[in-house]
Amino acid sequence: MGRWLAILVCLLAALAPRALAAESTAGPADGTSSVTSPAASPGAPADARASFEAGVAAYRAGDFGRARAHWLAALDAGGDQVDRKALCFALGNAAARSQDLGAAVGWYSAAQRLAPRDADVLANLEFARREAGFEPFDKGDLTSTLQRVFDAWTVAEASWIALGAIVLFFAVLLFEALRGGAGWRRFAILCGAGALLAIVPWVRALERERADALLVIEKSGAPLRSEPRDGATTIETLAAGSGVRRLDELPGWVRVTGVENASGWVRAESVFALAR
Amino acid sequence: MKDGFVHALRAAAALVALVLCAFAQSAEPRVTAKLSTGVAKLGEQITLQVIAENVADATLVPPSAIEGLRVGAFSGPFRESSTTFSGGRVVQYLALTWNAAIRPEKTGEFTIPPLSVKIGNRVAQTAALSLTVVADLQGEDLGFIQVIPSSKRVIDGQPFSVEVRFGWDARRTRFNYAILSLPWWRQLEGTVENALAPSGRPPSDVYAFIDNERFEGIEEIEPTTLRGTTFRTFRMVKSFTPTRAGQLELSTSSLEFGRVVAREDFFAFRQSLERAEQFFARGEPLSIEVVPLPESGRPFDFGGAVGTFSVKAGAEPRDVTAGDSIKFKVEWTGAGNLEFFEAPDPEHQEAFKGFRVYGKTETKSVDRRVVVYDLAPLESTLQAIPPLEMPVFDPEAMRYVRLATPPITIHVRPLKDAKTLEAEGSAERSARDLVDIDARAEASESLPRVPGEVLLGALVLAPALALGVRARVRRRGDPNAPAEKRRRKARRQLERELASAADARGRFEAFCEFLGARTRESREAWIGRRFERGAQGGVPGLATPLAPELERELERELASLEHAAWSGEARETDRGRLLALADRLIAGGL
Repeated sequence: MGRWLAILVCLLAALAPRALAAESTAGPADGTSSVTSPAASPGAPADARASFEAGVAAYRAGDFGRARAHWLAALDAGGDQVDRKALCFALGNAAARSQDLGAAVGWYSAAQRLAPRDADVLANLEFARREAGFEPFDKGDLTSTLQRVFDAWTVAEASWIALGAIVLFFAVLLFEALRGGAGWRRFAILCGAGALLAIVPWVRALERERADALLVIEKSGAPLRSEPRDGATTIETLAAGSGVRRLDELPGWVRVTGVENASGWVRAESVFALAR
Repeated sequence: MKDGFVHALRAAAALVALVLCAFAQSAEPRVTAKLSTGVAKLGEQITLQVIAENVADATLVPPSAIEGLRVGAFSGPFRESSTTFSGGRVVQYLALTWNAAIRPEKTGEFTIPPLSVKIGNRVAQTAALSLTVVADLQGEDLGFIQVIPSSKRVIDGQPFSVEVRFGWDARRTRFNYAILSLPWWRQLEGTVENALAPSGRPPSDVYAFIDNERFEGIEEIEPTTLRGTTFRTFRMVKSFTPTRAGQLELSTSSLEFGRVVAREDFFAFRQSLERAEQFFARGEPLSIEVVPLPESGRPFDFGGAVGTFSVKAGAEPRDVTAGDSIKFKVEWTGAGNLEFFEAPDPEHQEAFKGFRVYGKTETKSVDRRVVVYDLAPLESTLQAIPPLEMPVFDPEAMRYVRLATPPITIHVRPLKDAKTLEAEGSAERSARDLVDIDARAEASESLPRVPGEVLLGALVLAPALALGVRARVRRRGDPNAPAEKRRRKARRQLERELASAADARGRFEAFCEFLGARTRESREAWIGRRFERGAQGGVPGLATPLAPELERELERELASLEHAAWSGEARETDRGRLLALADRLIAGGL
């Protein structure tokens, strides 16, 4: 038995350095997106920390427009000086205080993607959605609850949860191999199912990260048109607060897949890019 | 066979009917009307029948009202059809019939105007009918009916009752039924009916009906003497509350009375009643004046209470902390519209400024109105629940009066370390708002990710590796087999048995058990075992040969233990030394 445990340890030792050396691939998905990302003001400080603090000062002074400009500059500056989730959250507050509730919902949603379990973000997101007349983020039904459970993890967290479940599964399989018995066999089957289930949040988090997700922020819904012009036929109306995926972009227009998988064009100001 | 015959008979009958219909002759449509009698007694019910002959479909136009006659709703049409042979011809007869009950309300000659029946696009009319209504002089002597209101002049909103008294000559002891015709009894326009508790028990020997429906709400009272005759007397009462000013008309009431006998209806398996004696008596029409409430002097907070009321009040608990709930119970009783007025609201009364009213619950009945207010004193300085006032119009005094509850003493303790409710109420209202920004926004150490290929590789490799291990282990046998379990537990078992062994023999047997378990043999296989050196060396029977030194040590130890066990020596064996040897044996491949 000792030999088999040694093999397990060796395997983990081989995997661990790779895992620990892996770089986080999360980052700004589209800093130059034309979708509801106002340009930073020319006078904004280039340093992300300084921009953020200038934004806080402007926000406290009640100048929400200037605060937003500073925070957008901080967001564009990137780096790890400022927490991106806090920046998105602050931008959401600035939008909400400026009565731009659609944009506020967008910024909170972006922050929620970065910190899925942050209670403050969820509280403000629900508040803004309610004020904007959107459907609640958590509808309270079973589907919504399951979604929240599976989507409550970042890619890194979900990957470690999945790895832990696989290691546990492997350990139980080894015990079953060495000791036998129906009890261990049943436990191994249970751990196998658990490992597969633990992979679901990771797959969903990856999908969420890779999809170029947009949020419809037009209060009355956004018409999905067959061509990028105002007179084109409306295929469907995208509900306010619903999520769509970006396929292409033209000045002032974004091509998206709708709720019923129909692709079409919507006005760029009607949607909000969630990858920040 | 039988079914076939029945089918053939039915088919033949249908064919005959078809042929008869084809040859049948229908006469011209004819509309007639008739009364069950041309001369009726006042109060007697007559049937008006309208017949439309030789028509398949027709509609009766409702007749207009006839002064002095109460015409009920028409029932029908009832269809009647027949086919007859007459003089070698087939004659088909079709008729529609409507019936209506008529009850005369006064004596005299009446003409029922022609009644119209719509047949297709045309209208056919009946001939006019004449009816003579005479008073039943004998009935007027033998019976009576009186309608007695509590007041002939009431105020709008003031409840009043109407009592109906009727009866017949007390000497006519076999009279046993009464049919009352009271047009206003079911619904009196301009009033709402007040629920009354049922009065005394109805007499068991009298059948009473109102407009042909059995009525149980009569009670028998003391006999009445009228016109020098003593009458057996019954009464029934109804209470109304007027909803508008004006005249309330209670048209002529009549009483049919007499004797009925029960007849067995053999075919219907039930009894039916037949009139053996029948008389009629008439009551006088009546009107009640409803006077509007006077505008002058009407209080602004008047809630519609009309009557002569009294009020009492109570409160529970009376010793409270500021803000605690007090149940303030107010009860109004008396004669009046207790069910209908609007109870006063303490919040609108200046005296109750020091209280907060959380709500009220009400129970209503015709003679009682109870309202329980949920009050909370706001300040500890309050010493009493003030009088609760309600404006009432007193119809006896014909003026508005204010009815007030007596003040109720209470003790209010101040709230500990808290503002008064008033102060709390005046504080800024709370509401949900956004969570504030994080002014630090310090980026935290980000968790590294497990690369996807590592995860997927682990997911595939882990089961594969475990399966490989499993296959290899299973080649040596099932690890869950009892011998394997015994082998795994041998070391722990040895330690336990050595600890509990009382003598050298016990220790020897424990060690033999250990060796047997490790070599998948029995304990006895190691008792007296000879270590014969083979060509390869090692203990015979072992799958893996032991190192020579270890083998010699095992031989020596076994010999020593065996000697001690069988010689009866009291020499103590070192338990630790045995366990150390066992460990070395396991490590050496035993």
